[in-house]
Amino acid sequence: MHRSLAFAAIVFAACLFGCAQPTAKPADGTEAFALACAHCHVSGLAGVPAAGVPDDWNTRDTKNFEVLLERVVAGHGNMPPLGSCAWCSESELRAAIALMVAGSEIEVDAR
Amino acid sequence: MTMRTRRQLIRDGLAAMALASMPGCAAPDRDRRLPWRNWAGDHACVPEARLAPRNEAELAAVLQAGAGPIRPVGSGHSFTPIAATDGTLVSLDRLRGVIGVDATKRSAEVWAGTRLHALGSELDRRGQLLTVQPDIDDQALAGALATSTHGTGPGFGSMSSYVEALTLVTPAGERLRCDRDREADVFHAARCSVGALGVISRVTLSNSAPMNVEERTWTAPVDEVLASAETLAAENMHMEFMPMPRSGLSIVVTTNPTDSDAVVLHEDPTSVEQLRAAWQAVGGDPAIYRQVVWEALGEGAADVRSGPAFLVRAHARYTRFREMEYTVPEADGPDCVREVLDALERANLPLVFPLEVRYVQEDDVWLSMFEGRAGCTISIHQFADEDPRPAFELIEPIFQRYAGRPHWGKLHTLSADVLRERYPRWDDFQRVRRALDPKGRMSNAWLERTLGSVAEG
Repeated sequence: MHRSLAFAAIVFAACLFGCAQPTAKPADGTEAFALACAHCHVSGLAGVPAAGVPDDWNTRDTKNFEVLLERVVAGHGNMPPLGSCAWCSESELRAAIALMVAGSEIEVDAR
Repeated sequence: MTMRTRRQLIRDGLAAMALASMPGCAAPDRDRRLPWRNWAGDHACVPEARLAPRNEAELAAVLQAGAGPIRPVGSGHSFTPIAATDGTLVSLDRLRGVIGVDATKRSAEVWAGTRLHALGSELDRRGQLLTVQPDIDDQALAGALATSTHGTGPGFGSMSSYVEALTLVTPAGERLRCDRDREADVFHAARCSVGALGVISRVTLSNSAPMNVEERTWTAPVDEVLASAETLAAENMHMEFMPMPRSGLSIVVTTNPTDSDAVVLHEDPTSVEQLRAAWQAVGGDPAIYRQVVWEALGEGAADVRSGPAFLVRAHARYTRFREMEYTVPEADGPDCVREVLDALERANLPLVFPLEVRYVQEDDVWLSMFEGRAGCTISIHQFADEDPRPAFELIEPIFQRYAGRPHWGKLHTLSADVLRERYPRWDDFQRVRRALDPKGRMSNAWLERTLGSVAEG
């Protein structure tokens, strides 16, 4: 999928869920993505896999979802710990990763 | 039981109910209790709760009923454990964006959780520009203000000095709107308050008109740069220099307005790694290293970036590092830098990460490093995967000889009794702190060391 289209689709989804439901809801990753992940994962920064672009994720050094999660928790490369989402629960992080790797070969465990 | 106590109980009970129902509070049972770490990775904690209130009412509920210590967190870019807590970590991630602008006064009211990289473009769309901006723009506005974060240029104060008004949510859950006329003492204390007084929810900033700028970067012998630093600072809108230890060279960066519309933003954020690679390649031989760096950069290697100021002023930082920064009186800057470089050379420490030297205007923010005196800030960095202590322990005593004030978000070893001597308005700040947080619910171990306990303050 073209990067800008992928971004538009994810932002649209984030708005649908994040803006229309001001009360508590199960983690779907959209708000975490919009507030924390999007800044780097839609900008085409060198070496940063883009959200919604399966090839970017398929060519990473791992396709293990749990490894990706632990990298987010601890920080990895230039990615800050918790992906710069200080308030994100484990479920929220899992859901945000699932959103970004959608369509790739990575087997998602979003719980 | 008095009516007041009953009312308080009801208020606290409502706050606890609000806290329990807050989005992001109730993680599924199968979720692990994850640690929080700062960007540099040198401090971690496992908070009982990590919360992101959606509005000021929810923020007030967190402050009233949250488990202590209650610590606000922005992007985690501080190098100290300023945000660390095993109680409640409060993120302002959901309080973002521009609330409104006053075109006549060229000011904007902004949610304090707004990240600086987003604020630049949001203000630009509204015909405004942050008057000053740090070179890293990942921070949340509240975090930048809490530590008197700054840019460079003797005509520019720290970000805290451009705050016209703010709303502080106190540990009691009250919302205090303050400026120079209303709650003036709280205003002067809160503009740089390391999150000790409560949580700032919104800020009115005095801004500038958008402009295009041209940033020029070149290298020159460090002796030449030190000799001309004051002139360079005076003649350019923004000027900083970055002496490269063990090389005899310094990078110089100037930024000035331009009429050009050219947008050139390229840069190589990994270039600092090349210095380390060179040092390792020559086996840490200082003479050969110096020769290698001079051959690569000694001929006045130059670069130019240009475009809207909010884009040009920001620089990507891909290399994780640790940092100590002290502000010394402006006129002492070059002498202090010279001492630092000489000490590093004599000690033969494997530190090749460039220093960073900037100039900041005097302000009247009680705990700002620039309160009552214009400053020259000197930063020393080490790669995050190397032990910074040998270099930092060597250099920190030099800063003391210049009555240096440490950056609130960067590493230092000073305690409250020493810092009190460096800040003329220290006791005034502590008076406000005691009034707003008499039980010390905002204090963690780091604040206890650097600010003292509320009782002692």
